[in-house]
Amino acid sequence: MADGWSQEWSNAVFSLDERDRRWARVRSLMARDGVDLIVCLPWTSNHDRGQADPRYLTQLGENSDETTVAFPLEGDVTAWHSRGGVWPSSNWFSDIRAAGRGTGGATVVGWLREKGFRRGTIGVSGLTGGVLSHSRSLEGETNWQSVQIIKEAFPDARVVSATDLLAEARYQKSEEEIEFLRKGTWLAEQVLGSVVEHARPGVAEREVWARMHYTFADLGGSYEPMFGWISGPLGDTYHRVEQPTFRSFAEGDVLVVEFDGRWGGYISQIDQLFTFGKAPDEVRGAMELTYESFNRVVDAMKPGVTVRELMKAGEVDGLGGRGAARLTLHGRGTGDDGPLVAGRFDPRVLDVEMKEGSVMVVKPSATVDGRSDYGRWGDTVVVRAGGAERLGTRPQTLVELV
Amino acid sequence: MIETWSPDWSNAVFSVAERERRWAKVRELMSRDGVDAMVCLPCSNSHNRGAADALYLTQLGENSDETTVYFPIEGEPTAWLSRGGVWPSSNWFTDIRAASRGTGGRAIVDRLKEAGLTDGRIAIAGLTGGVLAHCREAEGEANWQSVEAIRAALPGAEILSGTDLLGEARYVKSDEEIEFLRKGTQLAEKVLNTVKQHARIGVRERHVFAQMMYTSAREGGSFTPMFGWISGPAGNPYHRVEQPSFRKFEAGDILAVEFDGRWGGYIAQIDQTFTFGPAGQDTMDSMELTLEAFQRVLERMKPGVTAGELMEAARITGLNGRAVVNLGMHGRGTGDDGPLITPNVTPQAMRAEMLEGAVMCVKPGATLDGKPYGANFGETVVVTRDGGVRLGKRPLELCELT
Repeated sequence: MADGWSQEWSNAVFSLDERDRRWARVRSLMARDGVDLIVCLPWTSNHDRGQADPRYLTQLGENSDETTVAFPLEGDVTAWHSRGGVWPSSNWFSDIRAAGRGTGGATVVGWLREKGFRRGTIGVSGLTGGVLSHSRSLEGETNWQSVQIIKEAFPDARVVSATDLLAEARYQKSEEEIEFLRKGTWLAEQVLGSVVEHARPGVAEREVWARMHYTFADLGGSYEPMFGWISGPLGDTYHRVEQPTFRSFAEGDVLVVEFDGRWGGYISQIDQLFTFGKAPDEVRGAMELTYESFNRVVDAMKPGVTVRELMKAGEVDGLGGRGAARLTLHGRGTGDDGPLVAGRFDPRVLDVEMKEGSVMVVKPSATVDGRSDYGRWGDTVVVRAGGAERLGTRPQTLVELV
Repeated sequence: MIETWSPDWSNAVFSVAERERRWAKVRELMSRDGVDAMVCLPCSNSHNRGAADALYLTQLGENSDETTVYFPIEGEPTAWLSRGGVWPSSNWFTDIRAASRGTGGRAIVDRLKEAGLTDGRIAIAGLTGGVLAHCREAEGEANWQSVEAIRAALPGAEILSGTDLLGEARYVKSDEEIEFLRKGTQLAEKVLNTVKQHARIGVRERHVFAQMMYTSAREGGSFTPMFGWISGPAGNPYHRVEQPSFRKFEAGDILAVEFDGRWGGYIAQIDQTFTFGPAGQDTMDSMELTLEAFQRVLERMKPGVTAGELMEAARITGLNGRAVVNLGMHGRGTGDDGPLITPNVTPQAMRAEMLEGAVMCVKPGATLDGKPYGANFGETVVVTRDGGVRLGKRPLELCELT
């Protein structure tokens, strides 16, 4: 058992400068909003994306290891895991204590009593959904009984949602964060290479998926990755699932995959459409519309541009009126970050502005004659002062698996 | 897109007879307890174990696909996922509707109003922790805002926890469930063989982890499995994590792993200690004591015996007092099932009786000179009138990787 954190037993971790930057930023927002303490309660749903906030504040919580955090406006940060002391990602601070799993509320109450807390404002991360974080969980991501325990223990405290505050802090990434996302994108591209190598007509979908997991894990990716999976005959695909069935690929199929690339808990994504056999002209045409949509969005992606403007830029019609590409987009970092532009979206996102350092997954898709899954292409993109930068390096090509 | 469920796009699924058995059992308990409707809110915590109840009632929710369930005492249940209609595991019923992710509370409120149950007794799965279900989540696993939305919209309804009722229903397994758990155990044994094949001195821990993920995925396992991972020098290893660090195995290391084997969402487990290089005498002797404890527990594991009595049966001291074996044990099925026997065992868990058809992960471990991880061995076991019956076939042995 290690007594102090060491690279000998480590995952990918950030520098102490990055810790100081984040903590100062979050504390400046807490001071502005009158929040005395931020509390993160365990919630590892959605492939660990539910733990976006404790990950950001502490780096702790790899692969669904439950994390509780007390982050005060001033003073030392405390976290709780199943075991106290050193963890592979604990190079930032040392007050890591043991707590029984599923006891986040009681744990925070005990810590607050230890500090003599009676009244003040407690911000609970993920108590509500938001536009810039927890954007896929409109009703938040926090355990009911844990919140009630805190409220009942401190009836004079004001318990508020910290979702928007932490989202604001997380929206613009530092260069270190961008480098982690670049590494994640590289990792996702290696996973894509596994598909190119192994997916063929007649191969079990499970075999390809297994190869993807192998590549991801072997190269050091943070678990659990999400691979969104759409397969089946062109024009009549099965809908998106997160785990392929026992079926085998067939000639004439398409495969549309969202690949997570996770590095040190930072989540990038790329999207790719594959054809099994030579691609029909309609797919070629739809993919051209998709690339054009992607490139127009990236060209427009400067600080100050709104989501509404990006959606407009991403609208590309073609194929004699039969084809249409439209934008799907969301933020990424440690969780379900926004703004989220998907089939059903919150109208509040339309006025959200891109900022320098914001990182988005840009992934337009194209329909032909109203049928989906003819075109999809996506990459992780960072907004720079002079324009946007792709974090991936793969070419914009259709991948035919023959 | 297919319009009805078909084996052509399927995962491992249970029979319609199994559906009838489960639904009748749950409804019998609902009737006994005066519950009008059971509700499951989306929760894919802890590698999807948080979705245990929804998976039990519907089979839906593979690999963290969010599932909301309305299960009335009479009539057809309704489920919500990101897309309505057919899913790979939807051979049991057809009322599957689309709902935006993270809107479980709103979906349930609308459905209860549609059913005229605005002043009924509504049980929420996972609202609290329990002895037989959600046993690792003392504060439950139900989303705060979703629960509050239901309470606010239906002030005439009585809201209670469905944890104990569903824990009781799920405790005794049918033959079909046991076969799924047997398949899961066999899958875990294949993963164990992967470790034997690839783990050697000088090999990266991540490489072995990747090979394990590959085997689990290729063999059709439900994702994402949990692999508890303890590695490092024998006598002084690093503590348990759920994702190995970037280190390499060294001569004199041990590796103690918990392997999930998941089939159709049913979670079996095996535990095994490996040594890198020939095992030291202390480790060999500790493993002998551990295996003796395992067998003693199985002999006692008949209907009516309490978990506390099994703990007593497993407690063995050897090596002139230097080695002490204690029982680790918990139930398994679709989630964090109990009774949970760890060093922090509760009196209620100790009083829990074994019932015929209950399935437990029996995993004694030896401490050596007061330090944990001297030797571990575990397997999934079904309670019968003749004692515990293993669902796996591997030899009772220490694995030396040379």
